[in-house]
Amino acid sequence: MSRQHDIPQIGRDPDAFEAFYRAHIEAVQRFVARRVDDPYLAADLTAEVFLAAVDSAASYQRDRGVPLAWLYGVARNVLAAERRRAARGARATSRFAGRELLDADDIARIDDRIDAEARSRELYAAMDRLSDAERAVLELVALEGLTVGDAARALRISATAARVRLHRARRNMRDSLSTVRHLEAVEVPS
Amino acid sequence: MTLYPPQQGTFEERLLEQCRQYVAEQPATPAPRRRRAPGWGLVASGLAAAGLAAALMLPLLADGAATGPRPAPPRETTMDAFTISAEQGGALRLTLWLRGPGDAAALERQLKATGVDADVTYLPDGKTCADINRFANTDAPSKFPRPGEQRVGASTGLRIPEFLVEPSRIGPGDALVVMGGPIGTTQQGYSYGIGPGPISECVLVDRKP
Repeated sequence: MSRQHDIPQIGRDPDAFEAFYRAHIEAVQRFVARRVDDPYLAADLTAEVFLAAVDSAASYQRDRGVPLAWLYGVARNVLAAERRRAARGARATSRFAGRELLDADDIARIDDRIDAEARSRELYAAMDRLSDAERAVLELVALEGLTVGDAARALRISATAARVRLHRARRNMRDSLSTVRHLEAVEVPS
Repeated sequence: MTLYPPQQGTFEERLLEQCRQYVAEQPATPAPRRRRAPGWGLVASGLAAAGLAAALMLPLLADGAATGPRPAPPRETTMDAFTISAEQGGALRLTLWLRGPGDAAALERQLKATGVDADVTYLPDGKTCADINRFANTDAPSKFPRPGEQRVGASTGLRIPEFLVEPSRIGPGDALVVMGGPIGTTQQGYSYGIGPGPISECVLVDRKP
């Protein structure tokens, strides 16, 4: 259950931000590790998610759901922007690059987290076959554990629309998931 | 909910300290935030790095017609290809809406006239540079202009890419690199950064979809 933080306050009060950060840093790092496999990029994206949260805090509306759902919405936008940036071929960095804050121990810990999320990344890759709308709902519900209602609020769609998209996403994923299971089976030593 | 405990000397603590400073620098009464078109909401606020070499460029994209409440923007009556204005403290505020190589060349000349060694490249829609990393030393620390307010043109309703350049951050031998242009008909995107010259030439290639 996500603690009720005063989201607008985190954009102007460092202490409020710190409480929010400590409550959500692990969730954000898992969110990122499920989607990228490079520790330096993961550090940059983690930094950017919190910067974007500060930037967006003043416009937070309670109907966006619990703070964690709102933060996942922010993180999804950051990751989507990163995909567009990569497609554009631009080399880029945040206003402060998370990678510049890393030491060898940090990289090893982030690598461990990335390894632990390998299966999730396979699932995430399989989701590429879905439409953006379907994938968004499935990500938040299946990977991040939000309720359909919270996912709907995070995505600013109705709960009915979220349920319909989730149903279609699951149906469209059946072939992809079969492929993933097949690959896993191949890797089992004889 | 597990609270992340203080653990001195970790990435998480260093990031927290940086973020606390960032929050402390925010204005006490923030200006009303613009509502942005879906899918582009956070792009203009700065993006994260990628690639194996040192990150060097910061992309700045501005989308089309803005929606929802807006702060009172300066009233542009035309969509200038670019503007350069001096800010308090010596920074230069640049707005960009390049329409062709001539605009890029003119911007480059005017920047040089103000003492900023710059390389400006116009990228037609669908094009990019074959090697986007154009600085002479890709291991040099990254330096960036600051993203601006992305003000909305009063006559067009389009959000205008904008950033702030502090000439004091451009060291001897450094250059400001700006490259970008239209993305479709109502969007523009730019990458920019400050790094050591000489700047390699941009060979235009098709951008991968």
